[in-house]
Amino acid sequence: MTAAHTQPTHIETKQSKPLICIRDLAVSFETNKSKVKAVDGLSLTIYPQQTLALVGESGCGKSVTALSVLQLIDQPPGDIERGSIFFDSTDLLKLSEKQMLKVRGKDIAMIFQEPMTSLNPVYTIGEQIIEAILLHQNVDNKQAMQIAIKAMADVGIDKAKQRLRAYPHEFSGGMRQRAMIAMALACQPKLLLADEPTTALDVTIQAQILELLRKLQRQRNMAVMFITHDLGIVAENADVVCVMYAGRIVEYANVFDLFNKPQHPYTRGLFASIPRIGAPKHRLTTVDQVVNDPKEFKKLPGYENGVEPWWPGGEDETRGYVLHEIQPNHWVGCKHCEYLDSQISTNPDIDFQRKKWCTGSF
Amino acid sequence: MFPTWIGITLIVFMIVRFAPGRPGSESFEAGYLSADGQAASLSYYQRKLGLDQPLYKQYFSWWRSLFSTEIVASEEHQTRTFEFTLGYSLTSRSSVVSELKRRLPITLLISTLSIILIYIIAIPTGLLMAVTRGRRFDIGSNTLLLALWSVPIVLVATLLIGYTTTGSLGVQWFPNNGLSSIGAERLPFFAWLADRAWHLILPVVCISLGGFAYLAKQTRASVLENLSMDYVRTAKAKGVSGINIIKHHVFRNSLLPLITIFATLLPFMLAGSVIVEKIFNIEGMGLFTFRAVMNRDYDVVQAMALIAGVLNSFGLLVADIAYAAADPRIKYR
Repeated sequence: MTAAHTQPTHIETKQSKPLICIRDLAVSFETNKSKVKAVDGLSLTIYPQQTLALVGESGCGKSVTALSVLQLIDQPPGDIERGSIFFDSTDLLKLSEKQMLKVRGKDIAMIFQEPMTSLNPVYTIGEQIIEAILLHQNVDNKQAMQIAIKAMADVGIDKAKQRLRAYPHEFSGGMRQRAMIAMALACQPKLLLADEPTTALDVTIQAQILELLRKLQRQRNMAVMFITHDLGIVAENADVVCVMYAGRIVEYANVFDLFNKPQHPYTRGLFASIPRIGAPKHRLTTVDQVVNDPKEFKKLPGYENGVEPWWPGGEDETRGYVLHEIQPNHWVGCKHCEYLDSQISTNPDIDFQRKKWCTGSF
Repeated sequence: MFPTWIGITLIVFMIVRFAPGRPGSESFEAGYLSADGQAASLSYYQRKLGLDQPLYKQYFSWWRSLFSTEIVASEEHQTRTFEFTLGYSLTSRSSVVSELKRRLPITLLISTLSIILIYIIAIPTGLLMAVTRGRRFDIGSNTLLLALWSVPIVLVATLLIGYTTTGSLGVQWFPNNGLSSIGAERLPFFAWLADRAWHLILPVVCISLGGFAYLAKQTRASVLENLSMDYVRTAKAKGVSGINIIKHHVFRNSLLPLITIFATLLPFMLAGSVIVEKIFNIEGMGLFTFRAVMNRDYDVVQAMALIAGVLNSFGLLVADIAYAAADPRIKYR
């Protein structure tokens, strides 16, 4: 949380091509009663080696966004209604399932929240890592095993050779998450989607895993999309933060701007609701008017009910949801904030990275 | 396991004693005995079988009768022989064990064939149903399986006999009773085998239908459950194709619960054999049990129930061992 006190003097901006560009993504799910819009008009950009944090409460569409990138959303009931996901200038949403198989695990890898259940219980760790290697690299079994041993050693599992033969249930939670990371990184992906990778772990292990991810990201020049609802993790790890609410981005800025000058009332609410040690309070602060079930999104002002929406320009129904770039590299989707007269931009795009010296712990 | 078996003997003994009817009482139903004759018949059997004794004495004397001791005297010395008899049949006067030697293989043959058949057909069917969930194949098979599961064996057997063995459809496809044709023992081996297989088809089909429906539904449920597991999502994210996810990841995990069902199917088979063997007139354990029950042949009914119990406990043991072998998370020390 100390990021809030750090002045953004060490912003390092360089000109490079974006690694992944999500534009106007909309994903909905068919339930037996109605259609639920889990993500509606989401745009974001990640540059190589950048860490983008997707922040928001449960049900706001963070995981759906990540799963759409890999097209792991079951259709039906899911439906990617519109949008494009450009990865290395190919639109992933236009690729066939067969072509996607070559992207998943190779260029874009993903790690999940539950290390306890995310590994197949009847195969050894080694078999599962080697499976990923054999799928994407042109090597024989023996070489694959060497790569797997190297991958396990890289994530800090010692006696990697023996541990290849261990089953997931013989590993602790932290070890399993390390094994998951080894599996994801064995094929040297360019982008890692980390879907709350530390939520199920205790704080000590959490710190170790985050440190490990930072180290590996630096070594391999990998971009990371980090999904979390822990603002502490965001402050320590992210370059760019993207705050989501009810399937939409409400604020998008680099980590220092966001923590220093949060503009959107929801972001401010999130910061206000972080419990502080020593603050005597009977009840914890909550964010006002929170809807965290996607089925309820339509009750929010501006969604379907004719109440004036919270975002600017929303009065015009054809315009839809827009973000305002209220300051250079700071996008907000709210008409009640300052600097509203600045230009409109719907495509948030920040090529920003922390300097190396502050990527460690604060 | 031994305490279980002793428990089985107790329960079996009590059930048989409290069941209506007495040895000898079946002759009343035919109506050819006067009231005096009935009383005489009953008291004859009561004394002969020791049914006038207190229950615990009857229980222990049953235990004694499971093993018979014989003293064989030769010219030089006497030798005592123990023989495992499981009691004697009231009607055939031979020991239960000697009957079993002939009959148990027949029943086990039918049960084993049925179980193998059930597993071979039900698992692919269930898998296919899970993969095509909600589509026509799945809905159709589900309805059919529900029907198979609900229709009693007796009805199925009667219909099958009616349509396939009497020639009512123009052809007499299968024989309607027994396990071999008359004179089959003089045939060359392969002809004998073919004849035996031809006789086995109907009984095996009848006894398998219910179990098949049950196992196929269980397979479907198990595969569907595994398809929604987190590890499937991990495998997808690795780039494993849909077919390989089913083949490598889901299939093996889905088989685990099906191993336990083996222990459920075996008693199902044994119970079914009583009906099927009666209908098809096959001289196996089931028919033997059926007759013993009709005759109130206490020793045989008890022995049969005991054997069924022991077989089932072996089935459970086999299922446990197989489960431990298949699932790395379970180890017996």
